[in-house]
Amino acid sequence: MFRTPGRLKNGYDVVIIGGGGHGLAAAYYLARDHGIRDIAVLEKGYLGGGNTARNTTIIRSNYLTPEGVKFYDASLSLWAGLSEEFDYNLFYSERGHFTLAHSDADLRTAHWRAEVNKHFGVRSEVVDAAFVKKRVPRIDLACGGHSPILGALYHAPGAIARHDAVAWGYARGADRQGVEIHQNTEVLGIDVRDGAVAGVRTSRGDISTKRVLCAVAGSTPRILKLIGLDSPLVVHPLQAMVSEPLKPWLDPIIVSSSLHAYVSQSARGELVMGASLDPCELHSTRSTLDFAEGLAVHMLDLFPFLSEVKVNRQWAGMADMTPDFSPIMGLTPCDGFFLDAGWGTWGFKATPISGKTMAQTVATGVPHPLITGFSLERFARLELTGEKGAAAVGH
Amino acid sequence: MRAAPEPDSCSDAEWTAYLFNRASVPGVKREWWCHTPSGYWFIVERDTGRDEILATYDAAELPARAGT
Repeated sequence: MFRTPGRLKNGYDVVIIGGGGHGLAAAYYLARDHGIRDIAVLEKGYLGGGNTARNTTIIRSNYLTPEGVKFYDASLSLWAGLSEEFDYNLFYSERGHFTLAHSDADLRTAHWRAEVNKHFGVRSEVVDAAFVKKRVPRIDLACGGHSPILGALYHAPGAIARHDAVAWGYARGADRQGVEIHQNTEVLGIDVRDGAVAGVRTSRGDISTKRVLCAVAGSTPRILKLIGLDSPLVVHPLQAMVSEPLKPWLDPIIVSSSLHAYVSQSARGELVMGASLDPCELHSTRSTLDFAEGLAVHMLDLFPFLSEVKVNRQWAGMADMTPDFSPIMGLTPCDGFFLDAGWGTWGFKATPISGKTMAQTVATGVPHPLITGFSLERFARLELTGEKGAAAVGH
Repeated sequence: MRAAPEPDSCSDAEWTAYLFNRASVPGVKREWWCHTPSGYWFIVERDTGRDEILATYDAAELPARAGT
């Protein structure tokens, strides 16, 4: 798939910390669109082994804020062509995405999102319960009688993809253009001189560079501490689980914010299920029985016939949460240190567009127009980009 | 637990840093927890890297403990 480079060179034009989807996509677009090929991607573990491997692969653009809708919609446009571009099958599969409404408040948010989406040309509409039943015949519209489904926000472009292939596709594409991908290479320090990046110290030697892109999701606070930057990030575990494989019966992606559950059926037939964040800060990928039980209860509300189906695997990722549920992207007070973080529970779908916009930002030193609403300095200006209504639980 | 800056005399930057920024590297933290059935608030010292609770005590013990 890609080379395993030998020793680190003494210096690079750009060093990217984090060999997940976001870091590899940025390397790919830096090389392809900006002719910057002297790049090292440093990954402390193995390629795509962090949140790229741990998310539930849902891709959608039915967000709430204009900044979010435009950004994620640009990502969807890139997603659709990636398999062909990489000559590598990402199993990108358009399924349609339902956000179920169980209350008047849910319906109000659904209408709000639908109107914002339509305004920006994104296909979203509010549908009634009969429409839901037609697309998902096995659903219990009454949800056991205690939280009946009144309707839903339906987003036809909602899709899933094979997450490992996304990291490998970008890695191969970047590698072919000369980017070096160094796995098992941990960043131990970042040299800053006169307020600007001068180099990176790693477990495999020191590198001089003037530009560093940090794309490490749940490890972001640890990297920021190396250069003394503060941020509003708080890391929480986000758990998920899959069932044993079943014959295909669930085509769309189903999300219920009220029941704190979402589910899709993968190409392998497994039900991929998730719920809310763990309630308090923790830097660990441990799983809990509490989570599996809570999620199973709500899955049975929606699909009682699953009561005999077994759970195959359960895992967690570390989500770097922001106060407004939008990412933190762009420049920082340290010259040459670029940040692609705050991806909390919503990062996978943004992989292509975050790579593309961060590549341009790193290449030009000016934030890409699509990410100006996501700057680190927005908090100091009290100009938050509130995306909780569309990013929490349902992703 | 974090000390608040004096709102009348601190700068805007100090205030927004207090509002939003968090020390979010893994390590031992002192947190407020609540025992829901009794509504009793108490202090927990927790290692956020290892998911381990190291000590629990009443808030009245805080001045003595915080000195250590």
